[in-house]
Amino acid sequence: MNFLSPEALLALLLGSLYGAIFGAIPGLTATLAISLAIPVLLFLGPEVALAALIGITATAIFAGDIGSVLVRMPGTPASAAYTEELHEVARRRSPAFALGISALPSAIGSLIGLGFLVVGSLGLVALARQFSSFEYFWLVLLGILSGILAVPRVLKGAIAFGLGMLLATIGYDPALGNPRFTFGQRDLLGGIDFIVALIAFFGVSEVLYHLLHGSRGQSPHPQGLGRGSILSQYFGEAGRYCWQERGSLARSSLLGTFVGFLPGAGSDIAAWISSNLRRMRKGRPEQVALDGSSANNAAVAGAWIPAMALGLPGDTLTAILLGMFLALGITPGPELFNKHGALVLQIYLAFFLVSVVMLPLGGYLSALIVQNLLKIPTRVLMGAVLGLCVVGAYAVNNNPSDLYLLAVLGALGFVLRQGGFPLGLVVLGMVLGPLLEQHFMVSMIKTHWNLLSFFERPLALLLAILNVAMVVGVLGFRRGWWAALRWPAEERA
Amino acid sequence: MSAQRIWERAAALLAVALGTLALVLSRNLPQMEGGYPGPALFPSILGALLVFSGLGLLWQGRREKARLEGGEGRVLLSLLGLALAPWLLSQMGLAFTAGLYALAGAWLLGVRFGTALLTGGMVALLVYTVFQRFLGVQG
Repeated sequence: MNFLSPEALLALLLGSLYGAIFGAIPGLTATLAISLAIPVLLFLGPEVALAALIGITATAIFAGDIGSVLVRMPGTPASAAYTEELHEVARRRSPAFALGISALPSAIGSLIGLGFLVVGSLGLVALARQFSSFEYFWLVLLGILSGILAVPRVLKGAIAFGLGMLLATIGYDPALGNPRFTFGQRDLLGGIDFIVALIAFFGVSEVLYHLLHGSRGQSPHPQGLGRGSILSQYFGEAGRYCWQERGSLARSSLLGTFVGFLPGAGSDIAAWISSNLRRMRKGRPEQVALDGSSANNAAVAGAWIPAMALGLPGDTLTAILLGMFLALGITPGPELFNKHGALVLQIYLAFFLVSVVMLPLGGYLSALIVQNLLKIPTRVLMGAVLGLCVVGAYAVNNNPSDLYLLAVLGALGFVLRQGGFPLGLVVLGMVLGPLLEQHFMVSMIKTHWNLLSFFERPLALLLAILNVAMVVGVLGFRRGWWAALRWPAEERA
Repeated sequence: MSAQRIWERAAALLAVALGTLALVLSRNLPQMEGGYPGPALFPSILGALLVFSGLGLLWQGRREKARLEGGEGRVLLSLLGLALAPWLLSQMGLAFTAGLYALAGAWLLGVRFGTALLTGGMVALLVYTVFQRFLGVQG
């Protein structure tokens, strides 16, 4: 079996560098990186495409720290949680050391997350074999409710999810195959193309955002990585510091994996919780940055557990990845493990290589590239992004009418973004909506509309109770402790 | 913050409008045998959710003052420009269309024309090389 061919290894390397560069430059996010890459990756086959995607997602989250170190601007929302502390470390000790205490904990967090990904996904798959449509319905509902409740204003979460799910109702309905809301347009029978929507929401709306805020987007002035023994500071000193803090590193990685695993949560929430917990214990800036960076990378692997084992996305990035799986003709969940075992192994191995090689070594290399790229004004990059959005949306299906969709959904994404609505939930809604409807309708049809059947199987009953407990628990948590955690309301949008 | 309230209200109104549309259009969808709700059920629930959530959000922000911050014209112009993309594609081909949008985008964002032209040229070259020659995308 050829788990990682030269082509896949090259895709992993290039994907990691591409993700690192996008993640590091403020304004270019991990979701935008994937949205623009997917139209290219669709042409390259599952092994190569997935290797590149793993490289992009794993490194883009870490690379958000590069912007924090060099220009005190987080490249991604996941890095915003500890930008101040990381930049202070860069200023006080050296940028190379600061980058080291970001890259090495990221690699360790990612490795610990990978361990849980292997064990957790295999365990969940074994459990999922007992699942019927009733259990899946409760699980999907759990994902939706936790996503809505994770937003600072619940109504905004409900609208974002509702709009995403409503968009997904266009076309044939998933249970009975009746066309809905197509207005006689044949192009809409298959539904709204997920990738076109992705490009519109994260690409076009980003450009429109910069257009509205016009001249505010000045190019930052990066500081260099420092002089002297850069490598010894990056690996040696930072490595020794990580060893001193090994207990805390393990704790924050475990916390990050758990938060990433929760449906609707993600890397940014993991980083905020972990770094705020450290702040509350009066931690030094190095400790806050170390806890945040290990947690957000561990969360990346954590979010893959329900995505691979159950086909349920944990956050926006895994929602996009699930869309990519489906576009490549692979159904995530138990079927993935039964029919594509080699691909599952390749995913684990790619995660391992990214954690051990790309995050520590590629992090340093990408920082060297990024400190030059940061001199290019964001406005120039955004112009290029607009051109690539048009090409990407067209290239997916070679269909010019997708470009009308791009404009309409781009406008919708822009209005939502400006209003502080979490765009990630719209995308999650587009993935989870059809699943919820399908499992509900199948359950209803096979029991002749007996609603009590949702509570008859022990596992289904347990999941129903879990839904209620989660709603009650989160609402209680929000009333008290939540406010103390300096919640990043606008960053999550 | 005040500008965000305007957009928040616009999004809430949009949610109410789309929710109402979903409720109305769902009435024309077929029912299942025995009078059970069929394909109309899920969009109807979503329509109701959007209407109630939108109205709730409008109610929450009813007393807050808000005003636009300027620059909306550029956004509208860009969206109208995007709607022309299918026609431009048929006239100019994929690479030139992408280059034109990159040029226009950069220029509208306040980049000097020479730099914007260079940006457009680089994007056109990238699209021609990667998408058209390497991946075989037609256009």
